[in-house]
Amino acid sequence: MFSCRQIYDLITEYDEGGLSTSERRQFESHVIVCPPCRGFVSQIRATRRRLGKDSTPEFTAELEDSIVNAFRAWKEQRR
Amino acid sequence: MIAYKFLSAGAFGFFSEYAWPTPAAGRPGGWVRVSGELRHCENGIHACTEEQLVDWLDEELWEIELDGAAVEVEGGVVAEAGRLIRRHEGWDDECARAFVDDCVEKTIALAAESLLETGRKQDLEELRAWRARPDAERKVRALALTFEEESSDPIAFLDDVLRLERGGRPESEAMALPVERGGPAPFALAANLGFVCAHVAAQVAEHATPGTYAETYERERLSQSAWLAEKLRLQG
Repeated sequence: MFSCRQIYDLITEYDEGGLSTSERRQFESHVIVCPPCRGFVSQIRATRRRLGKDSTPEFTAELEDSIVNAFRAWKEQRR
Repeated sequence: MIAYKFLSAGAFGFFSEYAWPTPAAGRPGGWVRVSGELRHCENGIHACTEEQLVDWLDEELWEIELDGAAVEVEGGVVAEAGRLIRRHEGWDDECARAFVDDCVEKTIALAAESLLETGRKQDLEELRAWRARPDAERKVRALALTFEEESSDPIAFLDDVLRLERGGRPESEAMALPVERGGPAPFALAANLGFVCAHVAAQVAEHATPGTYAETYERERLSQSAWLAEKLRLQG
């Protein structure tokens, strides 16, 4: 069975289908019996679902200009 | 084939993130089907038998009817189709706590046996008396420290088990969070303590007779599933 550290490291690969059948089984077996890892997986997935709902703003020329100007102003202040 | 399936609250598959259609108006939930090769943990309707219940503990227990092709896998069965028949309401917080209590009692029995073997009858009587006390964990920890072979003695394991029973962690002195603030729910503690107590029994057996870990662990898990099936009056 995987350790808690391995669960943290492998959550993305698990969700993206990157683990072998045996690894998936080990991942799930650990998460079922480990409350902190179960909570961690739940939180990661809740965050992912929330991010998935947010729409990506259109990256217009005006938006690019405002970001570049804001960066230049910030850089100027640091001198 | 009738089997069992544990799901999160609202008939939600924790790993699949699938919201199962539930029974309504006295009729089973709708059929859920998969296509392609059945693969454990990857593709198929996953369920378990009475003997495998404790490997899958979650918030809700459902009876599920399986249909089509099916393959037996480690710890369960994977089928082409399934539908929820009914929820076993008996699997609730109270039942989960009773399950935890039974698991902990078995670990206490192991610890008691160890104390008896080492001629510590006074400690044994105190151990039995401590169970109901809020400071039992502290008392057991103090007792564990008096053992030289701390890492392999049942008393040392019991120290960890009592901490886990209260939702804490063996490696931390921090108090457990309540459920409403992210602490483990009774079903999660049941899943945790079931595994840990079987592991403890297997470790103790392995220490006494090398090579017996796997069979002891398997026997303990079967015993836990049998306890649960009897408690819930499942008829497999």
